Amino acid sequence: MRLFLLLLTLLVSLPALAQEPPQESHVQVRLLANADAAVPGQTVTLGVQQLIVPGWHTYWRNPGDSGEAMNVKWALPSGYQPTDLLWPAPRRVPYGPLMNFGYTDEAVMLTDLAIPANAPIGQTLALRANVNVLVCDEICIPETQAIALDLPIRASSSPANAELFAGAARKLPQIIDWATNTEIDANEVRVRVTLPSYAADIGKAASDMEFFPLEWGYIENASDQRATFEPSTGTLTLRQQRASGRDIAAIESAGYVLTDGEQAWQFAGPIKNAPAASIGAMAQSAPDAVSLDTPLLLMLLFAFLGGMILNLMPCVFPVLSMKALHLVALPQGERGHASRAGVFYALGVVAMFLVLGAVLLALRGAGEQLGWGFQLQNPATVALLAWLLFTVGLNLIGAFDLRIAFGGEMLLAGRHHPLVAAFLTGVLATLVATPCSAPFMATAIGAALTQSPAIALLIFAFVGLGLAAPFVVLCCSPALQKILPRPGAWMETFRQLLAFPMFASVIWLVWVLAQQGGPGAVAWALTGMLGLGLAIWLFDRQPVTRARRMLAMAAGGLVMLATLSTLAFIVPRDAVSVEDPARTDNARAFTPDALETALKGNTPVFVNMTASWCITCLVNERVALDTPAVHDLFAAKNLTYLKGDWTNRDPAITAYLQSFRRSGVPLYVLYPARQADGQRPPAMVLPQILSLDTLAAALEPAK
Amino acid sequence: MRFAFALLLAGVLAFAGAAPLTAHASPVIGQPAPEFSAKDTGGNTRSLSTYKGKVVVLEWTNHECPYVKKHYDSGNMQKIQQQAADQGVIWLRIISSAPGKQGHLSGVDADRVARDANAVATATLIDETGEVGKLYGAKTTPGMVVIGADGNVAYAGAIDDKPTSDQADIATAKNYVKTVLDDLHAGRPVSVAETQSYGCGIKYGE
Repeated sequence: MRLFLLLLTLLVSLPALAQEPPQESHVQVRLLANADAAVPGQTVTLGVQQLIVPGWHTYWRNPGDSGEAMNVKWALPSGYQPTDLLWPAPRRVPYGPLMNFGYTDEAVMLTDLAIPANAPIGQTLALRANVNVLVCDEICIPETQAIALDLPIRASSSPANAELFAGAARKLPQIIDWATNTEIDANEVRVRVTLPSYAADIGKAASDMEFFPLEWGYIENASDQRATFEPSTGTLTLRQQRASGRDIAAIESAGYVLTDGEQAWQFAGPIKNAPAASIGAMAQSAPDAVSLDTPLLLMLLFAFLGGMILNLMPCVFPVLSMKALHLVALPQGERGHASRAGVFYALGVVAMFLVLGAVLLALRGAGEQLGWGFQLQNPATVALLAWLLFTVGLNLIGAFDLRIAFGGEMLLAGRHHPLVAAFLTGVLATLVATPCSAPFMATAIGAALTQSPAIALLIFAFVGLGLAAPFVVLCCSPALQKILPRPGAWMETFRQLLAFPMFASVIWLVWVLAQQGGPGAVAWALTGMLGLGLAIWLFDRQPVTRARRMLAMAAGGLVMLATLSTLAFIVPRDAVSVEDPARTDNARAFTPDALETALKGNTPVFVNMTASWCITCLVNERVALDTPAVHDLFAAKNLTYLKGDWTNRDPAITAYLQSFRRSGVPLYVLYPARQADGQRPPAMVLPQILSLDTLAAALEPAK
Repeated sequence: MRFAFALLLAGVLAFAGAAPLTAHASPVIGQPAPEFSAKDTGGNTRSLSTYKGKVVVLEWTNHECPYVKKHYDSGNMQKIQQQAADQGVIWLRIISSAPGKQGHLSGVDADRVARDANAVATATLIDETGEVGKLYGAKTTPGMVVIGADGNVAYAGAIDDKPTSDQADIATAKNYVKTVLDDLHAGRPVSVAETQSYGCGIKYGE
């Protein structure tokens, strides 16, 4: 009886025991096949499906800052060997200040299993595996689950779980062989992917992109990722803060998964150390150009001063002078009106600077690798500016009397309100100043570009205010106006004299054009100038007839349009300047590869980032770098001299500049020689005005 | 014109030169280990500089983490701790879980956990602010840093090369900390200086 009771109790309680879950599980793992049978000689795709409890996550093959990828230990009959697991693209899973790479809700890993040709039909294939999977929320729980699937071995099969496998396949990264490279410097990892035209749409979704290195240790996982797209070259640039630890040499190949959340791509590419082999040592040494900490007021002050100094530049000075002469020529009684004209002139200048600034910011926003000076990186723009200055010069020298430009009363002045004329003069003054503002303001405005758009525009506005200030002061101050010399015949002579700085600026612009497009570009630009001169001559020839003027405008316009369109299509030459650097100063052309190679050695390396249109750069080269004393110094130190020419757009140089938080040239970087212990001290950014003493001091070993 | 040039260059320079440098700390292999101070389980302040001239091991730990349990339940961690003690190495266990977060312990509880596990350590530090952990870029438990007698970071990373929570893997694993301590003891250069640490993410405060 007691035995019976015991048995009864057991019988009642057994089902209850069986129904009780063995333990609370946070992820359920299942094994599935894409067919209902295994066919000898064919391949069946297996899926390992994770169903994850909401709020919990599992890990990708590179789990990020912590965690562990799922491990499947197969127990299969002999002769069966599944391929490595294929992992769907992960998402970033933040974990406090850490960042993990993994999955929420569901993930399916796929693997292919070849069925041997001699598999016995009619039997059952028993697929078994033990899966170790770590599942985390606040805490982490390693779970071990046995997965199993029995597939009949048959001569034919039908698809199974089609929807699940199609979905899983969509989430797998497509392996692509697009051109890619990885640059690593002290601060940043930059991955560049050149999208083929058929995949250019991917670039449009750049802001949704996340990328994941297959290997650990070279990005700071939790830092923000940035992706930008440059449509003209089809380059997608992914960047993230560099992890300050792992030796880059230890990373054998860089492989990445890139995903926009819908599609995913996987690619591998060579790694380049952008500026440093001794990255570990210089991880903390990246200099700031102008950091966010620089007080805004100070930045605005410098912008204002820079704008004021622009007035003295050869392309601007004549304009200001002519305006001053105009004041001189006014009858005493009318000088009172001058103050209002001055204000409108200032408004014109500031408005034009804001337009230029907005254009630049918009282009950068669209992913263009541009810095200030961008306006001179395009041959067509350079030619246009040369023509503009040429025309102004012709006008000043008296070649034509059409008061089209800056003689004071512009052509427009007669027909429009004088204040409108003053405004337009300001606009034109800024346009004419553009070529000069590039070489001299590149650094200052480059700094502005690291700021928010609003602050950047404010800085642009202050450069404009600075440019306008001297004339405005002159207009508003009768006392100053009294100092002006009395009108007389000298004015005409002076005016003609002012044409020559203009022509000098034209020569310089044509020279810049020669660097960009070679002799062909120069020929086209000069041809345009010829057409322009011809048109002006025709236009202004006495007696003036309407027909001749139309003809002049048509002919001149046609010639210019033709040359300009040719120039617009000139493919900028390679970064290496026509002015062969090796000729005079033993410099070699900068490329990330050349720098990497140079840094592998023990000797010091000097990097000079320059551009033909950068006067500061050229002055430095003439007075310091390209002197016998410096040649001897470099030779004595066995220094490798690398010169990067930013005359034309060059993303590699722009990226290098940005790694030092600059967006303009010049930039001088010295990598000291390795010390006795094999370490290379941090790279040094040298001042923008170089001297022999500076260079010699920098090359002395640190005490 | 010359004057104008000079003025302009000066202006440009002043603009560019007005830049303060930024710096952020993160230890680098072969570079001096950053100094820190933290309270131990008894409430006494321990500073790294106290142990100048000695090899120091930092072990980030979380008693409930399965990866930590793997090494304590198997006796693997205690074994390497004992070797370190025999070599005169300082061993600091560090708990960087923030108060209210999983793994955080009071000094008394931390002592009890260490005693129950038969841990062999110079001290256990309660790093409630996560300051020490973040200073060393510690991400997981277990997470190991070895500082050489010269005060430079000799090793940072995992305890061994089997990133699992399975005790059975210990038998075939290469214990990096043991390798580093052996190298340092023999005066050899460290053969493996950096690996990816594995385990549970450290539960830092927000």
